This record gives sequence, structure tokens and C-alpha cells, in this order.
Amino acid sequence: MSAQKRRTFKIEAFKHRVEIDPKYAERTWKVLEHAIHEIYNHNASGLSFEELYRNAYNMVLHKYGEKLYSGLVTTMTGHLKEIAKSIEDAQGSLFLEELDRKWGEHNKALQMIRDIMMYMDRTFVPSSGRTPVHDLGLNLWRDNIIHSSKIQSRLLDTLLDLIHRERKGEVINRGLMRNITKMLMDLGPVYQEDFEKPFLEVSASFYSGESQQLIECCDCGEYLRKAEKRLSEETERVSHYLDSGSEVKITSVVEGEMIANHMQRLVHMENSGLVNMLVDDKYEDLARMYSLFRRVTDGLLMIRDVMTLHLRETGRQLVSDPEKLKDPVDFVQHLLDEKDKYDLIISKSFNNDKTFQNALNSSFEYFINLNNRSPEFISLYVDDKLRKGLKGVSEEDVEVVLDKVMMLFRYLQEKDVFEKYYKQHLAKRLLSGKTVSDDAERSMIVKLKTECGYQFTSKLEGMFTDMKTSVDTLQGFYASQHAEIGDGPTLAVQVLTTGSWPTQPSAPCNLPTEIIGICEKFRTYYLGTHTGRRLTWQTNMGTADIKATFGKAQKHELNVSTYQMCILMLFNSVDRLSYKEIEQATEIPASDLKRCLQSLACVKGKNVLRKEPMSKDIAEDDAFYFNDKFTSKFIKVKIGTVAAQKESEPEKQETRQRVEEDRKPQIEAAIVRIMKSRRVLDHNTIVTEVTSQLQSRFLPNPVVIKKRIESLIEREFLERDKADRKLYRYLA
Amino acid sequence: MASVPSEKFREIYNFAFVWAKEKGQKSLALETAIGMWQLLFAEWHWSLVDHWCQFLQLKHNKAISRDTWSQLLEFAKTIDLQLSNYDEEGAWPYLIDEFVEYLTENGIVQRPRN
Repeated sequence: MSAQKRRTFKIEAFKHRVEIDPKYAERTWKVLEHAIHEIYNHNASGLSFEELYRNAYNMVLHKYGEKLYSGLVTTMTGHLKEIAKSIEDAQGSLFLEELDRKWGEHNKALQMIRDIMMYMDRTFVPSSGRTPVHDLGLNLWRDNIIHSSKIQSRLLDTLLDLIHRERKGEVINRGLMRNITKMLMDLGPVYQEDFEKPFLEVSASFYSGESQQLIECCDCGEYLRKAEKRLSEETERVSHYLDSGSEVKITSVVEGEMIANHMQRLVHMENSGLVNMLVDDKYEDLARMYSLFRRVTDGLLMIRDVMTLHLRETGRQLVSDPEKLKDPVDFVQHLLDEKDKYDLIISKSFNNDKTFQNALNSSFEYFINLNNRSPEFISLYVDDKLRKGLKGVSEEDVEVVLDKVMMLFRYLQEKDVFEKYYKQHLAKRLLSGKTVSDDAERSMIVKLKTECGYQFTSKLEGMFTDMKTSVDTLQGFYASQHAEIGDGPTLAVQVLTTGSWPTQPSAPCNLPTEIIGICEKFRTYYLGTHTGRRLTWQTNMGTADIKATFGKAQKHELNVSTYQMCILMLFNSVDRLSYKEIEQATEIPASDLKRCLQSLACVKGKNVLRKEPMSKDIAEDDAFYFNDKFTSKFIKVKIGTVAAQKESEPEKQETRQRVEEDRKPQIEAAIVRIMKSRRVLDHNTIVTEVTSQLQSRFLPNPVVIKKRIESLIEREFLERDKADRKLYRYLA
Repeated sequence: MASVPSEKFREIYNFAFVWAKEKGQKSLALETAIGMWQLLFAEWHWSLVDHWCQFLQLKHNKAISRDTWSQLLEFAKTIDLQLSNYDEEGAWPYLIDEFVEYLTENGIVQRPRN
């Protein structure tokens, strides 16, 4: 096929202009104008949509869009002015109803008009930059109805009045309200400008007034209930007939007026404020306060601060009240109960808020450490539980109790003091065999190890090991003796490794001859199998079971301490002994001796000895007699005084001294560690670093740190810098 | 402060400690130290020397370490007689801290309270 010459096709417009008769435009407009009238007069049914559409189309096509548009504006405006008048004339409650009805009609009319004018809307309107028909209709409504001088303020007043009445408890026509506000929303910024802004202002003054009233006559709980109610009412109102965007604005107004402005007064209200709620465990009220105050700036901060202050004050009173400190176990139980109480409050009412947990922890840490006997008392509490308190308790419940104790332990600043006491108390428990459950003991050690590391518990574990080993040793001893023992006393020995057990320097007292034999046999046996060791009888820690026969041949078995045994055995050969004679014969230290004699002679039901004179205290010239007339309904009588108890003042001083001594090498070790790595450091930084390194055990005294530094200087571990005397250098 | 002690004086002062103490001991016996101080501070005058010696006999009654000895001269040199430029955080030996406390508690020096 050969290439044909391409010919371009062209479609040409009419070469001549098609003129429309101007009268035609006028005639066409009149038709449309009439139609609009009919539409507004509810006579639209007689109109032909097709015809009207065509007419409008033709006008635009023939360049009469301008005439059409302005005609539309004029016609609609005219109608709206009439509508405005009918609305203005409406009386009372009919006002809103009329407005609503007319609005509905206008919208229907507008839709029809827009449909008719659709071609103009799509062509003339955009090209001429005019407002589209629908929006035009809304704007005209706004300008001629809503902003009409006789309607504008009346509308706002009516709406606000209805809302006010509803707030006062009246039932209003919510459907109508919704329609009106929806109308305002449809008109663009009219809702915000004409309604929402004044609404918020009026609401603010309403709630300001109401909150003033309520705060004068309600207690805190009541007030909060009312505030909460108002808040939910407002939210509900919004959902029913206001724009959803208004919700956060109106709630913020209510929160501001009812809560933020009265926070202080509410929290501190006498007899019903926060502190009263805490004391009385008012969970619901507290939860309400929490959820309301959460909404305002620093609301929760205020609750937290007042709670902290209260906690610290009650805590401080608790740890300084001599009544409450009489019984250590009771005291610690109080602490645990207080912690439980607040844990419950935080969980039930404060949403387990971490910042509140922290405030609780810091408060406890504060007041527990105000009393320097807290470590001792907590150890005594554990001692009591492990000795008898946890008897028959399930394993899970034991864990619960021990975990609670650990939580208190964590608050202690002087953990090393606790360690000292725990060791002492544990030693007594182990040696007297008075522990309720081995598993519970072990569990406690594990918890301490997890918390403080292996070093804290290695000695404690050593104690358990010694107990076990002693059992084996004893078995071995008796196996080796067989026939030789016969009727003699039965010996049970615990061999304690010196480093692991709490050191209590004591020279052994004089043992009765009946015992010495078998003691020596054991010593020989043990040293035979363990060369290079040295054994010392710890007569201040032992117990004995002795059989005693009294006046009317009643036999009793007495469980006593070793010291007491030594004293009692003396009465096998004589009936009367003076204090001095007993002291000489036994060589028991004076304070211990007095205590033993007291428990043997002055305690009702346990007075196996008789004292002359019968006074409560032991004097150096007292005389003691075997009490023939002793009776007890129990065959086994326990007189031993080996149980752990609150230390006396001098004992306490001694323990504290030992603790201070123990701290010195720890501080020095920390200083050396730090200086070894940092080489050169100024004084204050050393103090800070040492404190931070040791804080898991105790809080070192800066003066003590200084003394240790000087000691290290003297021993040439450190020196002062030649140029700056505040700097220290590590000497390799 | 009348004058600043010379470098020579400082050398002599520090040497005095080494010379006066017992062979093999790290510290200087208190009596000897006091004697030395009386001597030395006659050469270069420090008006608090008598109070210092009294304080030591009352509250310390033990030997004097080398560090305390040398730091005392620094103290006498730098700190004015009203103790107004004494700083608790100044890393002074604890004995000197206690001496300052002793002076203020007994009203010997009125420290300006700021």
C-alpha cells in the first residue's frame, strides 16, 4: 500500500454567531424565578425538573450565567427575609421549633434548586469564582436568619437558657436541640463563634458559682461525687446534642472550676479530706479523687505530696513511740500492716500508679531509718516467726511472710547491723534447736543472698553446715565409744567454726564433775580426727536436760541453760549456797550469773531454787536453797533463757561498737579500690564514690571516711598531692 | 597575719618531725610534738599554737601523724585568725576540723556566720 497523503480533519465552529433574543433570557429567567417561588411555597410537585434544568442550562450556555446567578441570590434572599419574619414572630418555645422547621424546608428547597442549577454550578460558578449553590444557600441562611438582629441574640439566649434549665434538673427537648446545633455546625464557624464560645463562658460562671456553694456545704467525698456527676452529665450532653469537639472543652471548664480551683481546700478538708480517707480506707472516695485530680495539672502531685507527708509523720511517730517499741515483734508487725494498708490503697484506688509506689517506698525508707534499732527489731521479728510464728503455716504463706520481711529489709540503710543481729539470732535458734522449719530458714537465706550477694550469706550458710557436720561427728563419737559410756550423761555437741558464728568472747565456766568426763572424751576423739584445731567449750550457749527429784519424790525434767545446770548441780552436795560461793565455784560472769539465778529463783512456776531474802533482785549477800517444795503440773519444765530478746542498753552499745569497727576495713577497701582505678582524686569525690559503693550495706559517715583516708596516708597507700592539698594520689 | 613563713622554714618544720620521732615509729609522741611546736612557732609566730597544744592534750592525747604535722603548717599559713576562710570541705585532717570546732564551741574564736 502506498503512503497516502495524510489529511487532517478539522471541525469548525459556526462561522456566524448564534444570537439569542435578549427577551428570551428574560423569559427563561422568569420561568425559573417562578419555580423557585413555587418551591418555597411547597408547590414543587407541579414543576417539571427536566424543563427547569434545560432552562437553566440554556441560560448558562448562552452566556446569561451572571443573570441567572444574581437572580437566584435575589430571589432566595427575598424568601429568607420572609422566613426570618415568621421566625421572629414565633412566641416562646415555638421560636426554636419554627426555626428548626424552616431550616428543614430551606434545605429541601435548596436541594431542588441546586439540582436545577447543576449545570451552572459546574461551569459558570467555578469559572467566575462564585460560591456554589449549596454553600450559597447556607451563607444566605446564615446572613439573613441566624445573623438577623432580631434572631441572633434570641437564639443564643434560648439555647443557653435551655441548657441551664437542664443543668438544674429540668427535662428539655434534646432532639430539637440537636437539630439546632447541627444546623449551626452546618454553617461553618457559626457553631464555634456564635454558640460554643459563649456557651463555655456561661458554663464557667455557672460552675464557678455551683462549686462555691457546694464547697461550703459538702464534705470532700460528697463534693467529689457531685463533681464527677456533673462531668459525666456534660459528656452525656455533648453526645446527645452538641458537637463532639465541644466535649474536651466543656470538661476542661468543669475540671477547672470544680476541681482545679478547689484542690487545696478539698484535700485538706477537716474530717473528710485526703488524710481522713487514707486513715479510714475509703477506697471508693480515694479512687474518685484520683481519677478526678488526674485530669488537672498537678492534681496527682498534690495527692501524692499530702499522702507522703502523712505517711512520714505517722511513720515517724510509730518509730519514736516508746509504747510501740516495747515489743519488737509487735512493732514490726505494725510496719508490715501499714505497708499492706497502703499497698492496698494504691492498688484499689490509685491505679497501681508507680509514682505513688515510689512515694510509699521513699516514705518507709525515711522513717524506718529514723530509729536505729529497726535492723535489730526486724531480725527479732523474723526470729519470732521462724521460732514459732510460722508453725503449721503452708509453704506458700511462709514465702509471703518472708517476702514481706525482705521488703522491709530493703528499706534499711544499715543492712550490716541487721546482718549482725540476724547472725546472733540464727545462732541461738540453731543451737537451741528451736526452729519451726528448716526450709523456711533456708528460704530466708536464699532471699538475703539474692538481695545482697554471696558474701552476705556465706557465713550464715557456714552455720548450717556446722550443724550438719556436728550430727555426723557426734554419730562417729558414739560409735567409737560403745561400751565405755554406760549410765553417764548423754552429750550432744555442736562444733562451731569460729569465723562463721557470732563471736561472743566467753571463758568457759567450771563444769560439774559429772560432765567433765564425757566432755574430755569428746575432745580427745575430735582432736584425734582433726589435727591442728583448737576446741573451746562455749558454756554461755549450751543447754541441758536434767532430772530432778523434789520433796515428795516428784520427778521433773528440767530444761536449762548450761550455766544454770552448773549452778543446780552444786546443790547435789549442799543444801545452801551463798551468791559468792556460787560465783566462785562456777566462775560464771556476774551479769549472766545474776540473770540465771533470777530465772531459777524468782519466777513463779519455775522456782526450783529458793532465795533469801525473797526480793526480785539478786544481791551479793543473797543465799540460795534447793526448793524442796517446788511443784509444777508439767513433768518437763523449761527454765532456759537462751531465746533471743531485745538487747539491753549496754549490749546494744557493744553491738554498735562492733559494727562500727567492722565498717572501718570496708571503708578502707572501698577507698583503695577507688583510688587504684582513678589514681588521683579530690576529697569530696572520694567521699561520694565511697558512699555510693557501700550504700547497699550502710551509710558511711564522712568523718569516718576522712579518718580512714588519713590512716591510709600514714600507711603510705595514699599521699596528698604536692601542689593541691585537696587531691590525693594512689601510691602503687 | 604578720608574715608568710619562708620556704626554708617549711623545710625545717617538716624535717623536725622526722628528726624528733622515735626510730621505727610512724608517729610523733604528743609531748615531743608539743615541745617542737613551741620551739618552731617561736621562730615564726602563730598565735593559736597554745590553744592547739591545749586542745590536743584535752581531746586527743595520742601521737601525731606526719600528715597532721605537715598540714598544720598549711593551716597556720593560710587560715586567718578569725577562721573566716576555713572551709569544712577543705580536706583538712580530722584533728584540725575538731580543733576548729573546739575553738568555736569555747568562744575562743568568733567565726563570722555567713
